[in-house]
Amino acid sequence: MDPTATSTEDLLSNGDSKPCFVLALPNEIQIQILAYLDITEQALLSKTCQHWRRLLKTEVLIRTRYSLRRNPKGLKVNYLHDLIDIYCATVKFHVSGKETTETILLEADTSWATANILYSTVEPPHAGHAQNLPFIDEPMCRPPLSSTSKLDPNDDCDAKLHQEQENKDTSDGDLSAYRIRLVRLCASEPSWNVGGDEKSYIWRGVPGLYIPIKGKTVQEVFEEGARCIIEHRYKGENDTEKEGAVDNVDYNLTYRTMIWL
Amino acid sequence: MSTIKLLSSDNAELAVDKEVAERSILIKNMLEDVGGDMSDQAIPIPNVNEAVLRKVIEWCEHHKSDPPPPADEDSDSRKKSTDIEEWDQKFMQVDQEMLFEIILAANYLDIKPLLDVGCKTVANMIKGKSPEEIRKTFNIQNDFTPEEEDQIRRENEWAEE
Repeated sequence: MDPTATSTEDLLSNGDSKPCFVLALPNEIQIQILAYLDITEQALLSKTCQHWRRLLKTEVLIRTRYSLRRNPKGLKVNYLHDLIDIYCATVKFHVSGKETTETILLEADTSWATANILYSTVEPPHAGHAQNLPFIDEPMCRPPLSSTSKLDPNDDCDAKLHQEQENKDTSDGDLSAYRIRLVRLCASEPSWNVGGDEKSYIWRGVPGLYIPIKGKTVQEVFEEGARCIIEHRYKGENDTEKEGAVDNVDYNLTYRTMIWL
Repeated sequence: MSTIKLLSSDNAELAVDKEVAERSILIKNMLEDVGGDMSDQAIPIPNVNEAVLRKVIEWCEHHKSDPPPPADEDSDSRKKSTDIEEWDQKFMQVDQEMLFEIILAANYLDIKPLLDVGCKTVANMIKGKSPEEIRKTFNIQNDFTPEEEDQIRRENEWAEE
């Protein structure tokens, strides 16, 4: 039985004297209307009545919550994937504790600013609150191709990760994955060209992690993302003696959604 | 310019330019099926009454020179913005019953751009409102149990600051 099925008579006669026209529209038209709403508006709408709450669980509308849109400031935003970015950045902020550096704060600020653009009245989700997010139990969707990052063959990290991914069993053909990329600040050779003997520093890619999307809920991706950030944070602290790494090395995490083609 | 006649559900016969009527893919296909000659016979539009049909024709007349909509259903420009041009905004300033009748007629007559304008208008009526305001706007009954309401409130706390 269609979970969204409700009779037109029931919807038109709402117990009040005024008819409810919008719910009497065919479901496909209601879906088209709801698809124009962003994730925050959809979340509020799910509180209005059972029918719209059920309708918001249909696959077409789930996909709209992953689509790339332009906000009024012209920035492209990707709803649920951005939520995960923000969540991961916030987890990183929490696990960093007192060692938080300006870089992390800057990054966190940027993420939070993104959150403010996305959801002008929304407080970013943070550790321990993710379970209260709407749509958290939905299956994670493959993002639209236009919003995915492509592999950079000149990026050592990309190349290595690509190789790792190729070595895995990929027989089912679905390699959609959420990527957490770690970048560490490392000392480079003195740059004679600029005439100084001071050390310069570069951000160098460290093999990151992939969270395959297939078969996972949004919450599982959140949790896995948080877990790998925490694990890598501590792993990184024991790894500072490595040649080329700077004392008090920090991790600049970037997150990319990627489809392997 | 050739004229055709449309017969509304309440038996009103309306004369309209063929070019204007062909904004409706349904009518366009019908005319193609009969070889384009319907000058002596009205095309029945059984799902649309006279008042709504007049409004739809008014919209088609204003937009008769518009380029055809993109064939790609998922076109970015269609999905991303709820911006509506000024003339269409004024056109849609009607009571709710008429608004939803226009949407249904656009859907039946297969006039996608008009359907889009109608859907965007309704989406804009939802935007920026609280659940209670949305219910009030559309006469929606709150059919959640207190337990369900409590659950929903917890889920959406992040969106309500």
